Amino acid sequence: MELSISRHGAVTVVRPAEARLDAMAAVMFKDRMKSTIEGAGARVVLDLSAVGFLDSSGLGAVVAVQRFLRAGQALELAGLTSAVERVFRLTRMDRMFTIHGGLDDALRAEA
Amino acid sequence: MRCARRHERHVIAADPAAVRDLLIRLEQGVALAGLTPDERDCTLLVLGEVLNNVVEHGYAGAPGWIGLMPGPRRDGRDWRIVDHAERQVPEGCFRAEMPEEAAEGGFGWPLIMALTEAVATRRRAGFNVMTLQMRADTAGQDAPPRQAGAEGGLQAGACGG
Repeated sequence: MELSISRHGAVTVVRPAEARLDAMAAVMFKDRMKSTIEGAGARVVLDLSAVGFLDSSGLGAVVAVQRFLRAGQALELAGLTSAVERVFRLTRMDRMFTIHGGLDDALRAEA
Repeated sequence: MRCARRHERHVIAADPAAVRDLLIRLEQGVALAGLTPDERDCTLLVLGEVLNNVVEHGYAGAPGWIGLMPGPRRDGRDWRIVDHAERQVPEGCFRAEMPEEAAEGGFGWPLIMALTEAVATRRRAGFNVMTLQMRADTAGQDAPPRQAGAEGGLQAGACGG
């Protein structure tokens, strides 16, 4: 699970390079996110626009990433595809995150 | 309507990589070609949850195999899953509710129940046989999970996923 990381001012954008965040990728995703968050600023935006498949393991991994946040740090989501958005909505985990329509929306948003 | 081939069946090793490869093949294959994109996505999600549940909780790390084949309707929404794991699906899984708080697990079975109209399991001659039918409408996906049919032999226990 490769992650593409870029900085936009105080915002760190993380973009999984693979299209599947599933049972096979979940553990490595969590590990990579943990080390990414350690060096990130106050806002971390997870851009999921390239992820077309997310299962319960992938969802659990995204939720677990919140444990790695420091005080004052926030994890936000952007660019959910319809299949990924459905999983967040059905599980009601869409209520646990700030979700932006796209990355541009996330970068324009206030912290 | 395009239908699954009459004799289509898949047998894979019980590991997450094999599950992923099978889902990719199904996504590109004829079995789901008659479904809408939303129906296809939901079917792939449910099959992934079921297959990974067998890997993680049925075989629990032991080597094994899983068979997947279309059910009698052969419309892409009707599936049968067979395995030889010693552990069956715990009965409690069919009543599992979506976690209320931010949780790192426990979503798998509630998702399965939310997206299917029927799920049944039975143990026969040492094999676990699960049949499932996907919901025909994707508009009603927010409906609360319901209890599935179980034909006997189910174990009480914790539900993974």
